[in-house]
Amino acid sequence: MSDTGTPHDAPGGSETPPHGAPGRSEDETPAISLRGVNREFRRPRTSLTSAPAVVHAVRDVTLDIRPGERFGLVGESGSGKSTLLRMMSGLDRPTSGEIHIEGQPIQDSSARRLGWLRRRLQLVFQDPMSSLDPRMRIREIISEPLVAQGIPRGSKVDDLLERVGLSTDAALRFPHQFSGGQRQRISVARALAPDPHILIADEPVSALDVSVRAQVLNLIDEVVDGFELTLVFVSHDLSVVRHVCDRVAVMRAGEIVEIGPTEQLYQDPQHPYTQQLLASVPRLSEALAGRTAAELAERTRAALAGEGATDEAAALRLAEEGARADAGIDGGAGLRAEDVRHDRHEDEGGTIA
Amino acid sequence: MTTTPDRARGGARNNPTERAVTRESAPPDAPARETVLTVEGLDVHAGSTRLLHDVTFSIQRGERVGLIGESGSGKSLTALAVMGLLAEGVTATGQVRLAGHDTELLGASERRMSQLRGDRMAMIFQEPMTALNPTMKVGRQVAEVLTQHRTADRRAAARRAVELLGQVGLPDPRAVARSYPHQLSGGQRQRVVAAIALANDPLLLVCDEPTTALDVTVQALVLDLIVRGVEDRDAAMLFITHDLAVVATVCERVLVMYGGRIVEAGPVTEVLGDPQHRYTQGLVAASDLERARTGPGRQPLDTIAGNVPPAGRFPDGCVFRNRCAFATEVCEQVPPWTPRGRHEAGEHASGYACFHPVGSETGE
Ligand SMILES: Nc1ncnc2c1ncn2[C@@H]1O[C@H](COP(=O)(O)OP(=O)(O)OP(=O)(O)O)[C@@H](O)[C@H]1O
Ligand SMILES: Nc1ncnc2c1ncn2[C@@H]1O[C@H](COP(=O)(O)OP(=O)(O)OP(=O)(O)O)[C@@H](O)[C@H]1O
Ligand code: SF4
Ligand SMILES: [Mg+2]
Ligand SMILES: [Mg+2]
Repeated sequence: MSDTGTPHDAPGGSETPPHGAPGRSEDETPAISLRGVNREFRRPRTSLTSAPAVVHAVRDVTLDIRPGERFGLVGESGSGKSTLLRMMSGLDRPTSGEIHIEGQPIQDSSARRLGWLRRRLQLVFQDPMSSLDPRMRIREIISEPLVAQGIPRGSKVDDLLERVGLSTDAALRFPHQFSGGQRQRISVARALAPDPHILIADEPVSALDVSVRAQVLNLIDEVVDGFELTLVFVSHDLSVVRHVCDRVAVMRAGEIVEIGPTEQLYQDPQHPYTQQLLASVPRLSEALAGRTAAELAERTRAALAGEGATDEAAALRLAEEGARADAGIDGGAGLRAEDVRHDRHEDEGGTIA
Repeated sequence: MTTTPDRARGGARNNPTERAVTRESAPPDAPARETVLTVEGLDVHAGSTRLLHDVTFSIQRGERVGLIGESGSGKSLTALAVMGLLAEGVTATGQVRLAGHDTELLGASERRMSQLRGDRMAMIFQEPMTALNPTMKVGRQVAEVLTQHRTADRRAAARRAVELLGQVGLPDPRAVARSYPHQLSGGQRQRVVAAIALANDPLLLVCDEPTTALDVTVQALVLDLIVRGVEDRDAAMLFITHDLAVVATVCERVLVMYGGRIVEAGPVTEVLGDPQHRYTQGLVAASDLERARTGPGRQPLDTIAGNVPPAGRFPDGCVFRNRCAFATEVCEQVPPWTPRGRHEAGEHASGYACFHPVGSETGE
């Protein structure tokens, strides 16, 4: 069975790491290290007279993720989570700053020169359908990273399928023959194929039904333990991140505004934005105890007031701009007075013709 | 109630305190509230595939009823059948009735249905752009739904549109009225859709995942304004979501759907706090991320085995039996509806369809 041979099941299972395994001392090399990382995107020019808008999607992020850590990244839509993950994975390059994976710099290398990174770091995405090639059989999909690395595949595909809870006859089928949850198991199997040290998951359960979400979260938990992986887990769902991660960073408009051990951050959030997010999450236990929609919104408004929104209009504006890195650009964050001024003459006096 | 002139209802809306007092001072054994929506034995087919089976429920005036279930369980189809918006090739049988309208809605002409939609019954979808015209200013879209169904003159409709945009919490409603949908954020657009849906004080508001596409902060504010909107109008609401915490926050009563059937129904506190059907039990347990935190170390989450089958592939008898740990031979029959307690809205308002409910002998 695939279980044998994973470090987790090593005979003895002693406390001290086996010879050569990384220790957990202060000066160990971080699995992932970011120093002053920035990413700017230039939006297409929308007018001849004004300069094209620049979206500062990631702003000055400095961060170390220790080997074996389960690191969570939360934030609302557009806050820069995926952009940060793509840079950590060598899929995108920072505008400035340094990124080291297990001590090796990656920020200046093109994707072609990062073959070694694919062996150490693998990804799982939100939508397993679009990340699995529909024309390939499961066997080919899972062994693709092995073939690309020139690693012999042997019976590895069967082992991996069993490891993620699928029967081995799945190997000959195509992605569309599986449900969303099963496809996400296939993505996990593929990610595990080159025996990576680091698993990066971008909203891996956001598209799944609740009953299946629990299965996939348990699977991620098992493989992170069993293969002694470092996990970077991104979600906009604060409860899911709380369940999965040891340490959490909160992102807003490209910046990490708060970072800390999970329980500390959830129980005693320091940054007003973290407080606002936590105040706004509906919770089943509280709702069953009688918390109404009006009370939930009241809590949100109070948190927004703490961020300086002194009246309702400002609170709404602040909520709607949310965490977006592109707030204020392209009208993507909502209405501003200047957006409508130009057509004022058309319906003066409240008449709508 | 449906004969109440609009101005009278508008008056009450402008005086919410008075309204709240009247409602609270009603004696606890007051007669049942008026039934606004009745759905009986609703079946929906696409070709030979049966998508909804014998769906029966009703909603009373002022009642907020949730409809929950995983993807593909039939929530949207139920809403679309009620609104007369089923796609071509999808057929519905059974009965759908709206208070004050003698005709059965499933058999009603499209002309009749389009008179009711946007007037007596309205709907908010997940994606606001499906309900908005991208080339028309927002204020005019709100005004149009007023002039379409009422004889109000254009000027009055335009003024009322700005008022409605203000009521759904849009800052500077006059500026919003003059803008196009693309100039608004997702949360602002959903407020505009709410203003359109509530414009003619509908008897019934149907919401299909109205906040699923929004971030949590905006969701909290939009949920509040939808609830306030229906409360102020004493309207009935059918609220579709797959989020148990959202349904418990918004609704008093909930229907649980799986495989095109309603498998359990009742007050939110009973159904989600003390579920009887094995599917509801599994669903509540699998969503409970808090429990997993209470033990030592990291606890695995409770799961439901297997996957939700695609339409037409659910087992006969109990639709959940291929995933249920408590299934026995008897579950090959369709489980009868077992009423739970006595509910003013009738036996289908609270109960379950399971042969071995939580707490029964089998497997406990
Ligand atoms: N290739 C690109 N070109 C231009 N802008 C981009 C590009 N990729 C991302 N952005 C912008 O960068 C910001 C951050 O986007 P990102 O996808 O990282 O956010 P996110 O936190 O992952 O959001 P979500 O929760 O919606 O996935 C957004 O404003 C986005 O529009
Ligand atoms: N026009 C159609 N023809 C055939 N099958 C359909 C049609 N419309 C819906 N279905 C099927 O009916 C089932 C119920 O669909 P419905 O949209 O009601 O699900 P839902 O509960 O709203 O799910 P979700 O949470 O994903 O929105 C699904 O399996 C769907 O594929
Ligand atoms: S009727 Fe039988 S199969 Fe269905 S939920 Fe109840 S015990 Fe399970
Ligand atoms: Mg993202
Ligand atoms: Mg739906």
